[in-house]
Amino acid sequence: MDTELVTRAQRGDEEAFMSLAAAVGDRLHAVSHRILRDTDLAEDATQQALLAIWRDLPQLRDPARFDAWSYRLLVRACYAESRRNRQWAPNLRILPTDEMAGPDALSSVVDRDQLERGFRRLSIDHRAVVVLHHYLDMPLESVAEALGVPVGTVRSRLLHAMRGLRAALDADARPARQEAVR
Amino acid sequence: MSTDRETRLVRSWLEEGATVLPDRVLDAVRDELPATRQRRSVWPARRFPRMNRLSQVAVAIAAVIVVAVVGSRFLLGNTSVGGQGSAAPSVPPSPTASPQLLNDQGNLDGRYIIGSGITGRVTVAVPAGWSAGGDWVVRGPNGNAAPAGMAIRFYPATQLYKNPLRESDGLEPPETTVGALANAIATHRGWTATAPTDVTIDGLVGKVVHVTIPLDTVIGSDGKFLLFGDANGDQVWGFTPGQVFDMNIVGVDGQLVVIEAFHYPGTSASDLAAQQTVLDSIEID
Repeated sequence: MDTELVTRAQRGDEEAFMSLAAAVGDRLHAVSHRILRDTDLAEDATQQALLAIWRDLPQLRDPARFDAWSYRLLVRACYAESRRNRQWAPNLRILPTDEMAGPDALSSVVDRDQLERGFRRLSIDHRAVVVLHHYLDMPLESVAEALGVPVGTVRSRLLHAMRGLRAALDADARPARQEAVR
Repeated sequence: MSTDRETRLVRSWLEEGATVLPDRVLDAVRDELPATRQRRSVWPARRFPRMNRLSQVAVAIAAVIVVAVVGSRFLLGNTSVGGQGSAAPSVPPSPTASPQLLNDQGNLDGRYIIGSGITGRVTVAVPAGWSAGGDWVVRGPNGNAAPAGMAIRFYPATQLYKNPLRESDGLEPPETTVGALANAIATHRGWTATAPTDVTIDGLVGKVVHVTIPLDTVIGSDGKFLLFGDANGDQVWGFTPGQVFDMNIVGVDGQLVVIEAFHYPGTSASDLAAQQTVLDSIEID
Protein backbone atom coordinates (compact mmCIF):
# COMPACT_ATOMS: atom_id res chain seq x y z
CA MET A 1 0.00 0.00 0.00
CA ASP A 2 1.19 3.48 -0.87
CA THR A 3 1.50 4.98 2.60
CA GLU A 4 2.04 8.41 1.09
CA LEU A 5 -1.45 8.21 -0.44
CA VAL A 6 -2.83 7.09 2.89
CA THR A 7 -1.16 9.99 4.67
CA ARG A 8 -2.43 12.52 2.16
CA ALA A 9 -5.95 11.12 2.38
CA GLN A 10 -5.73 11.29 6.17
CA ARG A 11 -5.20 15.01 5.82
CA GLY A 12 -8.40 15.34 3.79
CA ASP A 13 -7.00 15.15 0.26
CA GLU A 14 -9.99 13.82 -1.69
CA GLU A 15 -8.05 13.07 -4.86
CA ALA A 16 -5.50 11.08 -2.92
CA PHE A 17 -8.32 9.17 -1.30
CA MET A 18 -9.95 8.39 -4.64
CA SER A 19 -6.63 7.06 -5.92
CA LEU A 20 -6.46 4.94 -2.81
CA ALA A 21 -10.05 3.77 -3.28
CA ALA A 22 -9.31 2.81 -6.89
CA ALA A 23 -6.27 0.86 -5.75
CA VAL A 24 -8.04 -1.11 -3.03
CA GLY A 25 -11.59 -1.15 -4.36
CA ASP A 26 -11.33 -4.36 -6.37
CA ARG A 27 -9.80 -6.26 -3.49
CA LEU A 28 -12.37 -5.00 -0.98
CA HIS A 29 -15.19 -5.80 -3.36
CA ALA A 30 -13.88 -9.30 -3.97
CA VAL A 31 -13.89 -9.90 -0.23
CA SER A 32 -17.33 -8.42 0.39
CA HIS A 33 -18.77 -10.39 -2.51
CA ARG A 34 -17.44 -13.60 -1.06
CA ILE A 35 -18.71 -12.81 2.41
CA LEU A 36 -22.17 -11.66 1.40
CA ARG A 37 -22.69 -13.95 -1.62
CA ASP A 38 -24.73 -11.27 -3.36
CA THR A 39 -23.60 -8.78 -5.99
CA ASP A 40 -25.84 -5.87 -5.00
CA LEU A 41 -25.21 -6.24 -1.29
CA ALA A 42 -21.49 -6.52 -1.90
CA GLU A 43 -21.43 -3.32 -3.96
CA ASP A 44 -23.35 -1.49 -1.26
CA ALA A 45 -21.07 -2.85 1.45
CA THR A 46 -17.94 -1.89 -0.46
CA GLN A 47 -19.29 1.60 -1.06
CA GLN A 48 -20.12 2.03 2.62
CA ALA A 49 -16.76 0.62 3.64
CA LEU A 50 -14.92 3.09 1.40
CA LEU A 51 -16.87 5.97 2.90
CA ALA A 52 -16.16 4.67 6.40
CA ILE A 53 -12.49 4.46 5.50
CA TRP A 54 -12.54 8.08 4.35
CA ARG A 55 -14.41 9.15 7.49
CA ASP A 56 -12.18 7.31 9.95
CA LEU A 57 -8.88 7.58 8.12
CA PRO A 58 -7.54 10.40 10.33
CA GLN A 59 -7.85 7.96 13.23
CA LEU A 60 -5.57 5.35 11.68
CA ARG A 61 -2.38 5.75 13.66
CA ASP A 62 -0.05 3.74 11.45
CA PRO A 63 -0.59 4.13 7.68
CA ALA A 64 1.36 0.90 7.14
CA ARG A 65 -1.51 -0.95 8.78
CA PHE A 66 -4.04 0.39 6.31
CA ASP A 67 -4.80 -2.97 4.71
CA ALA A 68 -5.72 -4.80 7.90
CA TRP A 69 -7.64 -1.80 9.14
CA SER A 70 -9.61 -1.48 5.89
CA TYR A 71 -10.71 -5.12 6.12
CA ARG A 72 -12.09 -4.46 9.56
CA LEU A 73 -14.23 -1.61 8.27
CA LEU A 74 -15.26 -3.73 5.31
CA VAL A 75 -16.44 -6.57 7.53
CA ARG A 76 -18.40 -4.06 9.60
CA ALA A 77 -20.04 -2.80 6.42
CA CYS A 78 -20.88 -6.38 5.49
CA TYR A 79 -22.55 -6.79 8.87
CA ALA A 80 -24.57 -3.66 8.30
CA GLU A 81 -25.65 -4.72 4.84
CA SER A 82 -26.61 -8.20 5.98
CA ARG A 83 -28.69 -6.71 8.79
CA ARG A 84 -30.27 -4.16 6.51
CA ASN A 85 -31.24 -6.71 3.93
CA ARG A 86 -32.23 -9.98 5.43
CA GLN A 87 -34.09 -10.99 2.29
CA TRP A 88 -31.30 -12.78 0.58
CA ALA A 89 -31.38 -12.95 -3.17
CA PRO A 90 -29.07 -15.84 -3.85
CA ASN A 91 -27.07 -15.76 -7.03
CA LEU A 92 -26.76 -19.47 -7.32
CA ARG A 93 -25.44 -20.46 -10.65
CA ILE A 94 -26.90 -23.78 -11.72
CA LEU A 95 -25.14 -25.34 -14.65
CA PRO A 96 -27.29 -26.83 -17.39
CA THR A 97 -27.43 -30.61 -17.36
CA ASP A 98 -25.48 -31.05 -20.59
CA GLU A 99 -22.46 -29.35 -19.03
CA MET A 100 -22.25 -32.12 -16.49
CA ALA A 101 -20.17 -34.38 -18.59
CA GLY A 102 -18.92 -36.87 -16.03
CA PRO A 103 -18.97 -37.85 -12.40
CA ASP A 104 -16.25 -35.34 -11.46
CA ALA A 105 -18.13 -32.41 -12.95
CA LEU A 106 -21.31 -33.60 -11.33
CA SER A 107 -19.56 -33.91 -8.01
CA SER A 108 -18.07 -30.46 -8.44
CA VAL A 109 -21.44 -28.84 -8.99
CA VAL A 110 -22.90 -30.69 -6.04
CA ASP A 111 -20.00 -29.62 -3.88
CA ARG A 112 -20.38 -26.00 -4.90
CA ASP A 113 -24.09 -25.96 -4.26
CA GLN A 114 -23.59 -27.52 -0.88
CA LEU A 115 -20.78 -25.17 -0.02
CA GLU A 116 -22.98 -22.26 -0.98
CA ARG A 117 -25.74 -23.46 1.31
CA GLY A 118 -23.41 -24.30 4.13
CA PHE A 119 -21.66 -20.96 3.85
CA ARG A 120 -24.92 -19.02 3.91
CA ARG A 121 -25.76 -20.65 7.20
CA LEU A 122 -22.65 -19.16 8.78
CA SER A 123 -22.65 -15.82 10.57
CA ILE A 124 -20.80 -12.90 9.02
CA ASP A 125 -18.13 -13.38 11.72
CA HIS A 126 -17.44 -16.90 10.57
CA ARG A 127 -17.66 -16.08 6.88
CA ALA A 128 -15.17 -13.25 7.28
CA VAL A 129 -12.62 -15.55 8.87
CA VAL A 130 -13.01 -18.12 6.10
CA VAL A 131 -12.68 -15.53 3.35
CA LEU A 132 -9.75 -13.64 4.85
CA HIS A 133 -7.86 -16.85 5.58
CA HIS A 134 -8.72 -19.05 2.62
CA TYR A 135 -9.29 -16.46 -0.10
CA LEU A 136 -6.74 -13.79 0.83
CA ASP A 137 -4.32 -16.30 2.35
CA MET A 138 -3.97 -14.17 5.44
CA PRO A 139 -2.31 -15.90 8.41
CA LEU A 140 -4.59 -16.31 11.41
CA GLU A 141 -2.62 -13.66 13.30
CA SER A 142 -3.29 -11.15 10.54
CA VAL A 143 -6.96 -12.11 10.44
CA ALA A 144 -7.12 -11.51 14.18
CA GLU A 145 -5.52 -8.11 13.77
CA ALA A 146 -7.86 -7.20 10.94
CA LEU A 147 -10.97 -8.22 12.85
CA GLY A 148 -9.79 -6.93 16.20
CA VAL A 149 -10.26 -10.22 18.02
CA PRO A 150 -7.82 -12.61 19.68
CA VAL A 151 -6.13 -15.26 17.55
CA GLY A 152 -7.85 -17.96 19.60
CA THR A 153 -11.21 -16.55 18.59
CA VAL A 154 -10.20 -16.60 14.94
CA ARG A 155 -9.03 -20.18 15.26
CA SER A 156 -12.26 -21.32 16.86
CA ARG A 157 -14.37 -19.43 14.33
CA LEU A 158 -12.45 -21.03 11.49
CA LEU A 159 -12.84 -24.45 13.05
CA HIS A 160 -16.55 -23.94 13.50
CA ALA A 161 -16.99 -22.59 9.99
CA MET A 162 -15.05 -25.42 8.34
CA ARG A 163 -16.95 -27.95 10.40
CA GLY A 164 -20.18 -26.41 9.12
CA LEU A 165 -18.98 -26.52 5.54
CA ARG A 166 -17.80 -30.10 5.93
CA ALA A 167 -21.19 -31.07 7.31
CA ALA A 168 -22.87 -29.41 4.35
CA LEU A 169 -20.66 -31.31 1.93
CA ASP A 170 -21.04 -34.64 3.70
CA ALA A 171 -24.77 -34.27 4.09
CA ASP A 172 -25.42 -34.60 0.43
CA ALA A 173 -24.36 -37.75 -1.21
CA ARG A 174 -27.48 -37.67 -3.35
CA PRO A 175 -27.49 -37.01 -7.09
CA ALA A 176 -27.49 -33.36 -8.06
CA ARG A 177 -30.82 -31.73 -8.48
CA GLN A 178 -31.27 -28.46 -10.21
CA GLU A 179 -33.25 -26.31 -7.88
CA ALA A 180 -33.59 -22.76 -6.89
CA VAL A 181 -32.40 -21.88 -3.45
CA ARG A 182 -34.48 -19.50 -1.40
CA MET B 1 -14.05 -36.17 3.84
CA SER B 2 -10.44 -35.27 4.44
CA THR B 3 -9.49 -31.82 5.69
CA ASP B 4 -7.18 -31.32 2.73
CA ARG B 5 -9.90 -31.98 0.23
CA GLU B 6 -12.30 -29.79 2.13
CA THR B 7 -9.79 -26.94 2.21
CA ARG B 8 -9.06 -27.40 -1.50
CA LEU B 9 -12.76 -27.32 -2.31
CA VAL B 10 -13.39 -24.23 -0.23
CA ARG B 11 -10.42 -22.41 -1.73
CA SER B 12 -11.44 -23.35 -5.24
CA TRP B 13 -15.03 -22.32 -4.59
CA LEU B 14 -13.92 -18.98 -3.16
CA GLU B 15 -12.04 -18.22 -6.36
CA GLU B 16 -15.40 -17.84 -8.06
CA GLY B 17 -17.03 -14.47 -7.77
CA ALA B 18 -16.61 -10.81 -8.54
CA THR B 19 -13.11 -9.40 -8.56
CA VAL B 20 -13.69 -5.97 -10.09
CA LEU B 21 -15.48 -3.10 -8.39
CA PRO B 22 -17.79 -1.39 -10.90
CA ASP B 23 -16.88 2.22 -11.69
CA ARG B 24 -20.34 3.35 -10.61
CA VAL B 25 -19.49 2.45 -7.02
CA LEU B 26 -16.33 4.55 -7.07
CA ASP B 27 -18.32 7.37 -8.69
CA ALA B 28 -20.89 7.17 -5.89
CA VAL B 29 -18.13 7.30 -3.30
CA ARG B 30 -16.62 10.34 -5.00
CA ASP B 31 -20.02 12.06 -4.98
CA GLU B 32 -20.49 11.44 -1.28
CA LEU B 33 -17.05 12.50 -0.08
CA PRO B 34 -17.78 16.23 0.26
CA ALA B 35 -20.72 15.47 2.53
CA THR B 36 -18.81 12.92 4.61
CA ARG B 37 -16.92 14.62 7.38
CA GLN B 38 -13.67 13.05 8.46
CA ARG B 39 -13.60 12.23 12.14
CA ARG B 40 -11.08 14.04 14.22
CA SER B 41 -8.51 12.05 16.02
CA VAL B 42 -6.07 12.18 18.84
CA TRP B 43 -2.69 11.22 17.52
CA PRO B 44 -0.26 9.38 19.64
CA ALA B 45 2.94 11.05 20.57
CA ARG B 46 5.08 12.50 17.89
CA ARG B 47 8.16 10.42 18.12
CA PHE B 48 11.39 12.19 17.48
CA PRO B 49 14.26 10.01 16.41
CA ARG B 50 17.27 10.05 18.64
CA MET B 51 19.91 12.46 17.43
CA ASN B 52 23.24 11.01 16.51
CA ARG B 53 26.45 12.34 18.03
CA LEU B 54 27.24 14.69 15.14
CA SER B 55 23.77 16.20 15.26
CA GLN B 56 24.05 16.72 18.99
CA VAL B 57 27.32 18.60 18.55
CA ALA B 58 25.85 20.71 15.73
CA VAL B 59 22.81 21.58 17.82
CA ALA B 60 25.02 22.46 20.80
CA ILE B 61 27.17 24.79 18.66
CA ALA B 62 24.07 26.44 17.20
CA ALA B 63 22.65 26.95 20.69
CA VAL B 64 25.89 28.59 21.88
CA ILE B 65 25.85 30.96 18.91
CA VAL B 66 22.22 31.93 19.54
CA VAL B 67 22.89 32.53 23.23
CA ALA B 68 25.98 34.63 22.38
CA VAL B 69 24.12 36.83 19.91
CA VAL B 70 21.09 37.34 22.14
CA GLY B 71 23.29 37.92 25.19
CA SER B 72 25.42 40.52 23.42
CA ARG B 73 22.28 42.45 22.49
CA PHE B 74 21.21 42.53 26.12
CA LEU B 75 24.65 43.63 27.26
CA LEU B 76 24.86 46.38 24.66
CA GLY B 77 21.48 47.84 25.55
CA ASN B 78 19.69 49.58 22.68
CA THR B 79 22.65 49.56 20.39
CA SER B 80 21.65 47.77 17.26
CA VAL B 81 24.09 45.72 15.32
CA GLY B 82 25.37 47.43 12.17
CA GLY B 83 24.28 51.01 12.76
CA GLN B 84 22.65 53.72 14.82
CA GLY B 85 19.76 52.73 17.00
CA SER B 86 16.28 53.65 15.99
CA ALA B 87 14.71 56.64 17.69
CA ALA B 88 11.47 54.77 18.05
CA PRO B 89 11.42 52.57 21.12
CA SER B 90 10.95 48.94 20.43
CA VAL B 91 7.74 47.37 21.67
CA PRO B 92 8.46 44.87 24.40
CA PRO B 93 6.46 41.68 24.42
CA SER B 94 3.41 42.05 26.57
CA PRO B 95 3.63 40.10 29.77
CA THR B 96 -0.13 39.69 29.70
CA ALA B 97 -0.54 38.56 26.10
CA SER B 98 -4.03 37.34 25.22
CA PRO B 99 -4.40 33.58 25.24
CA GLN B 100 -4.16 31.97 21.84
CA LEU B 101 -6.57 29.36 20.59
CA LEU B 102 -5.12 25.89 21.03
CA ASN B 103 -4.52 24.86 17.44
CA ASP B 104 -2.23 21.89 16.96
CA GLN B 105 0.87 23.87 17.92
CA GLY B 106 4.05 21.83 18.07
CA ASN B 107 5.42 23.80 21.00
CA LEU B 108 3.22 25.35 23.63
CA ASP B 109 4.26 27.93 26.18
CA GLY B 110 1.64 30.21 27.67
CA ARG B 111 -2.10 30.30 28.20
CA TYR B 112 -4.41 28.84 25.61
CA ILE B 113 -8.12 28.84 24.90
CA ILE B 114 -9.67 25.42 24.39
CA GLY B 115 -11.91 25.03 21.35
CA SER B 116 -13.38 21.59 20.90
CA GLY B 117 -17.00 22.72 20.80
CA ILE B 118 -16.98 23.92 24.38
CA THR B 119 -19.34 26.88 24.50
CA GLY B 120 -17.90 28.44 27.65
CA ARG B 121 -14.42 29.95 27.80
CA VAL B 122 -11.92 27.48 29.17
CA THR B 123 -8.24 28.40 29.22
CA VAL B 124 -5.19 26.56 30.45
CA ALA B 125 -1.57 27.54 31.08
CA VAL B 126 0.88 25.13 29.49
CA PRO B 127 4.65 25.13 30.05
CA ALA B 128 7.28 24.89 27.35
CA GLY B 129 7.87 21.40 26.09
CA TRP B 130 4.23 20.50 25.78
CA SER B 131 2.40 20.31 22.44
CA ALA B 132 -1.18 20.50 21.21
CA GLY B 133 -3.36 17.91 19.52
CA GLY B 134 -5.95 19.84 17.54
CA ASP B 135 -7.88 22.37 19.60
CA TRP B 136 -8.62 20.10 22.55
CA VAL B 137 -5.54 18.21 23.69
CA VAL B 138 -2.40 19.34 25.49
CA ARG B 139 0.33 16.70 25.48
CA GLY B 140 3.09 16.30 27.99
CA PRO B 141 6.78 16.62 27.19
CA ASN B 142 6.96 12.89 26.45
CA GLY B 143 3.93 12.94 24.20
CA ASN B 144 0.67 11.18 24.90
CA ALA B 145 1.52 7.61 23.97
CA ALA B 146 2.49 4.67 26.15
CA PRO B 147 4.61 3.84 27.99
CA ALA B 148 5.49 7.21 29.53
CA GLY B 149 3.31 9.84 27.92
CA MET B 150 0.40 11.78 29.27
CA ALA B 151 -2.04 14.44 28.16
CA ILE B 152 -5.07 16.44 29.12
CA ARG B 153 -8.12 16.49 26.87
CA PHE B 154 -11.07 18.86 27.00
CA TYR B 155 -14.38 18.01 25.37
CA PRO B 156 -18.12 18.24 25.82
CA ALA B 157 -19.66 14.80 26.27
CA THR B 158 -22.90 13.19 27.30
CA GLN B 159 -22.78 9.70 25.80
CA LEU B 160 -20.58 6.70 26.50
CA TYR B 161 -20.03 3.85 24.11
CA LYS B 162 -21.84 0.71 25.19
CA ASN B 163 -18.86 -1.43 24.34
CA PRO B 164 -15.44 0.23 24.15
CA LEU B 165 -14.26 -2.44 21.74
CA ARG B 166 -17.26 -2.62 19.44
CA GLU B 167 -18.44 0.60 17.90
CA SER B 168 -21.34 -1.14 16.21
CA ASP B 169 -23.02 -1.65 19.59
CA GLY B 170 -23.66 2.08 19.61
CA LEU B 171 -23.95 4.65 22.35
CA GLU B 172 -25.58 4.72 25.74
CA PRO B 173 -28.43 7.25 26.10
CA PRO B 174 -27.20 10.79 26.75
CA GLU B 175 -26.78 11.92 30.35
CA THR B 176 -27.94 15.37 31.34
CA THR B 177 -26.26 16.08 34.66
CA VAL B 178 -22.73 15.98 36.00
CA GLY B 179 -23.70 13.41 38.62
CA ALA B 180 -25.48 11.14 36.16
CA LEU B 181 -22.59 11.17 33.71
CA ALA B 182 -20.10 10.49 36.51
CA ASN B 183 -22.22 7.58 37.72
CA ALA B 184 -22.52 6.20 34.20
CA ILE B 185 -18.74 6.27 33.84
CA ALA B 186 -18.22 4.73 37.27
CA THR B 187 -20.63 1.85 36.69
CA HIS B 188 -19.72 1.08 33.09
CA ARG B 189 -18.87 -2.58 32.58
CA GLY B 190 -16.29 -1.96 29.87
CA TRP B 191 -13.56 -0.75 32.23
CA THR B 192 -12.65 -0.44 35.87
CA ALA B 193 -13.49 2.80 37.62
CA THR B 194 -13.61 4.40 41.03
CA ALA B 195 -16.75 5.82 42.55
CA PRO B 196 -17.33 9.50 41.73
CA THR B 197 -16.01 12.03 44.19
CA ASP B 198 -16.29 15.80 44.31
CA VAL B 199 -13.71 17.93 42.57
CA THR B 200 -13.37 21.70 42.25
CA ILE B 201 -11.97 23.25 39.10
CA ASP B 202 -11.55 27.02 39.17
CA GLY B 203 -14.36 27.25 41.71
CA LEU B 204 -16.74 25.00 39.81
CA VAL B 205 -17.75 21.90 41.72
CA GLY B 206 -17.89 18.78 39.61
CA LYS B 207 -17.18 15.08 39.87
CA VAL B 208 -14.06 13.07 39.17
CA VAL B 209 -13.92 9.39 38.25
CA HIS B 210 -10.70 7.48 37.71
CA VAL B 211 -11.00 4.99 34.86
CA THR B 212 -8.50 2.28 33.88
CA ILE B 213 -8.42 0.16 30.75
CA PRO B 214 -8.15 -3.42 32.04
CA LEU B 215 -4.75 -4.97 31.42
CA ASP B 216 -6.22 -8.00 29.64
CA THR B 217 -8.03 -5.87 27.08
CA VAL B 218 -7.31 -6.73 23.45
CA ILE B 219 -7.60 -3.54 21.46
CA GLY B 220 -8.25 -3.98 17.74
CA SER B 221 -6.27 -2.84 14.77
CA ASP B 222 -7.91 0.57 14.76
CA GLY B 223 -6.27 1.16 18.14
CA LYS B 224 -9.44 2.44 19.75
CA PHE B 225 -10.80 1.82 23.21
CA LEU B 226 -13.98 3.82 22.79
CA LEU B 227 -15.05 6.09 25.61
CA PHE B 228 -17.37 8.85 24.43
CA GLY B 229 -19.19 9.52 21.18
CA ASP B 230 -21.94 11.63 19.77
CA ALA B 231 -24.40 11.73 16.93
CA ASN B 232 -21.97 13.74 14.79
CA GLY B 233 -19.54 10.89 14.78
CA ASP B 234 -17.02 12.56 17.07
CA GLN B 235 -15.28 10.08 19.30
CA VAL B 236 -12.95 10.01 22.25
CA TRP B 237 -10.99 6.87 22.90
CA GLY B 238 -8.12 5.41 24.84
CA PHE B 239 -5.11 3.65 23.41
CA THR B 240 -3.57 1.02 25.62
CA PRO B 241 -4.38 -1.50 28.37
CA GLY B 242 -3.37 -0.03 31.72
CA GLN B 243 -4.03 3.53 30.58
CA VAL B 244 -5.58 5.61 33.37
CA PHE B 245 -8.00 8.49 32.85
CA ASP B 246 -8.84 11.02 35.54
CA MET B 247 -12.19 12.19 34.24
CA ASN B 248 -13.18 15.51 35.74
CA ILE B 249 -16.72 16.47 34.80
CA VAL B 250 -18.05 19.98 35.26
CA GLY B 251 -21.04 21.89 34.01
CA VAL B 252 -20.02 24.94 31.99
CA ASP B 253 -22.84 27.18 30.74
CA GLY B 254 -25.23 24.25 30.88
CA GLN B 255 -22.85 22.01 28.95
CA LEU B 256 -21.26 18.89 30.41
CA VAL B 257 -17.53 19.27 29.91
CA VAL B 258 -15.02 16.51 30.55
CA ILE B 259 -11.52 17.60 31.48
CA GLU B 260 -9.66 14.35 31.25
CA ALA B 261 -6.07 13.85 32.31
CA PHE B 262 -4.63 10.52 31.24
CA HIS B 263 -1.39 8.69 31.85
CA TYR B 264 0.17 5.23 31.80
CA PRO B 265 1.80 3.05 34.41
CA GLY B 266 5.18 4.21 33.07
CA THR B 267 4.49 7.94 33.32
CA SER B 268 7.03 9.51 35.66
CA ALA B 269 6.11 11.14 38.95
CA SER B 270 7.55 14.45 37.74
CA ASP B 271 5.37 14.34 34.63
CA LEU B 272 2.32 13.56 36.74
CA ALA B 273 3.17 16.53 38.95
CA ALA B 274 3.51 18.71 35.83
CA GLN B 275 0.15 17.43 34.63
CA GLN B 276 -1.44 18.40 37.94
CA THR B 277 0.09 21.88 37.68
CA VAL B 278 -1.49 22.32 34.26
CA LEU B 279 -4.83 21.06 35.62
CA ASP B 280 -4.59 23.54 38.47
CA SER B 281 -4.09 26.37 35.98
CA ILE B 282 -7.45 25.86 34.28
CA GLU B 283 -9.68 28.89 34.27
CA ILE B 284 -13.33 28.74 33.35
CA ASP B 285 -15.23 31.96 32.61
